[in-house]
Amino acid sequence: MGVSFAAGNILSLLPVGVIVLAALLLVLLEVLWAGRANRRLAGFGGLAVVVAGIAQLVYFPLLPSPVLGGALRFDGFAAIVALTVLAVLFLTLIVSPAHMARMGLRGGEYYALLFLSASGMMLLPAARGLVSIIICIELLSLPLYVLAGYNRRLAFSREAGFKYFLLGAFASAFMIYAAFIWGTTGTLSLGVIAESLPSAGNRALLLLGLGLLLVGFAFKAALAPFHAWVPDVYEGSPTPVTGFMAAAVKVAVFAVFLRVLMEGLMPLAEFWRLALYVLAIITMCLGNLLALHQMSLKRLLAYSAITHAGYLVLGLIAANAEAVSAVLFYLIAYSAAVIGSLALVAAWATRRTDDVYISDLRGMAERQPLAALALTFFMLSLIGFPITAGFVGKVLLFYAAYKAGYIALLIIAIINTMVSVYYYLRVVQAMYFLPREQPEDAAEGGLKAAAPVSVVAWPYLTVALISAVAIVVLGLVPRSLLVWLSMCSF
Amino acid sequence: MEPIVVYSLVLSAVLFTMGMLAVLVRRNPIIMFMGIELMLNAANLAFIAFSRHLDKLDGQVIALIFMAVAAAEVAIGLAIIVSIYRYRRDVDVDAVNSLRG
Repeated sequence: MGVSFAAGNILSLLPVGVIVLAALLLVLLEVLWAGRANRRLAGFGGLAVVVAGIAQLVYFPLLPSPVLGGALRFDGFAAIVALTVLAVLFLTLIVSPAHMARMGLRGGEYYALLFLSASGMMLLPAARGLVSIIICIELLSLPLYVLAGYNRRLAFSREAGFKYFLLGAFASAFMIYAAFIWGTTGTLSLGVIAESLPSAGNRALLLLGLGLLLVGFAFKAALAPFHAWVPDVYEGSPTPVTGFMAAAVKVAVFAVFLRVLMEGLMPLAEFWRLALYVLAIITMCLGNLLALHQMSLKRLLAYSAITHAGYLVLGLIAANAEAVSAVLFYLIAYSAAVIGSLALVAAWATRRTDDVYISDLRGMAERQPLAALALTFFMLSLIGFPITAGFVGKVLLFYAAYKAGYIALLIIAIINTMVSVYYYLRVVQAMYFLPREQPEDAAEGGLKAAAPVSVVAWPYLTVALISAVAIVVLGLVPRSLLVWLSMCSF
Repeated sequence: MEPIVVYSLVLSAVLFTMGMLAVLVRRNPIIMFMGIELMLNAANLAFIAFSRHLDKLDGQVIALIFMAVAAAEVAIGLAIIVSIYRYRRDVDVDAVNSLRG
C-alpha cells in the first residue's frame, strides 16, 4: 500500500469538532465561573450540543465521505448514531445541574468529561480501522471511568469508578491484542480486512485474534460471562452518569460492533456467529434471572441492560440489511426508556445512597401521578409492550433474526421477554397497587419514611416527559424514524 | 515465519498470560494495574514482531500509538486509585466490596 493521505471532506468532522471545542471551553469556563457555575456550565454545554446537532443535520453525509486518509468514514449510519448520542448528552445536561446540587458536588470537570466521552462516541461509528476504533473506545471510556467515581463522598461511587476502570482497561488490553488480525492479514482497515481474510495466512492465529477481539467487545457491550462490572458500576455511578452510560455507550458500542462484524469480519461469519449465539443465550437468561430479585431500581436497570444487550446480539448475529436499522431503532428506543427512568431515579434518589428502592415507590401514583405514569411507560417500553417504541424495536429485531433463520434463538428471546415482564411490572405494581408504608417506618425514625417524597423537580420531569413522548411517538408512528434509518445501510 | 518472530510472539503470549493472571489472581490494585500494563505491552510486542514478519513499518507506529493510549490509561488509573486511597488509607480490592448482589 502506498502512503497516500487525503484529508477528505473535513466538514464532516464539524459536529465532533464543536463537541471537542466545547469540552475544552468548559474546562476554561469552569475556572472563570469559579464556584456555583453548575447551571451556567450546563447551559453553555446545551448550547454547544444544539450547535453540533444543527451542524450534523446540515452536513448530513448522504454519501459516505472518507476523512483523514480513510481512518474515518462518515455516512448515514454514523450520523444517526452521532445524533442519538447528542440527544442523550442533551438530556443528561438537563438533569445534571440539579442532581449535582442535591448531591453536593462541584461542577468542574464533570461537564468537560461528559463532552469528551461524547466526542469518542460520535467518532466511533465512523471509525474504519481497528486502531481508530480502539482509540475511539478509549476516548469514550477514559472520561467515563472518572465520571463513574465522581461522587467521591460515597464509597459506592468510588468503588464503581475503580471497578469500571480496572475491567475496562482489562477489556482494552484484549482488544489491542487483536494484533493477530493485523499479523495475518497485514491490514487493520475494515474493508481491506474483509478482502484479505479468505487468503489470510495462518488460520489459527487469525481465529485467536478474532476471539480476543470478541472478548474485548463482549466486555464493553456487557455480554454475559463478561458482565460482572455492569451492576456495580451502574449502581455506584452518579445517576445522570448512569443514564448517559446506559444509553449512549450502548448505542456507540453496539453500532461499532455491528460495523466491525458486518464490514470487516463477514468472511469469518461462521465462527463469530457461533460464539455470539452462545453469548446471546447466556446473556439473556442470566440477565433476566439476576434481575428478578433486585430491590434497587438502578441495579434492576443494570441487569435489564445486560438482558437487552442479549437481545441486541440477535441483530448482530442476523447481520443482514434488516438488522442494521432494527439494531439502531432498538438502541434508540432503549435509550429513551432508560434515560427517562434514570432521570426519575435521580429525582427520587436520596443523598445517602443516590439510589431508589422499589419499596420507596409504593403509592407513588397518588403522590406524583405524572412521574409514575412516565415510569410506567418506560417499563412497558422495556418489556416491549405494544404502542411503545420498545415493541416496534423488538418486532424489527426479532424479524431480522427470523429472516436470518435463527428460530431457536428467537424462541429463547421471546421466552426471556415474557419472564422480564415480571420484574418490570413489579415496579409498576409498587407504584399503583401497593399502599404507602407508614406506621412501622415512622417508629424507625424519619430517615426511611422521609426518603423520596419530594416533588419531582422540573429538570427531571422535563427529561422524563421528553423520553415518554419519544417512546409513544416512536411506538405509534415508527415510520418517522425508520425513514431516516433506511438511509444507513452499509 | 522467521524464528525471531516466533520467539517474540511466544514471549508476547507469555507476558499477556502473566498479565491476565495478575489481574485475575492478585488482589492489590497496583499489582492488578501492572498486570494490565503487561498485557498492553505484550500486545505492542506482538505488533512489532508482526511488523518484522510482514516487513511493514506500520506495526511499530501502531505500537507507539498504543503506548500513548496506555499512558493515558495510567494517568486515569493511578488518579482513581489515589482517590480511593485518600478516603480509605489502604488499597485492597477485597476491602472495596460494598457493592454486590
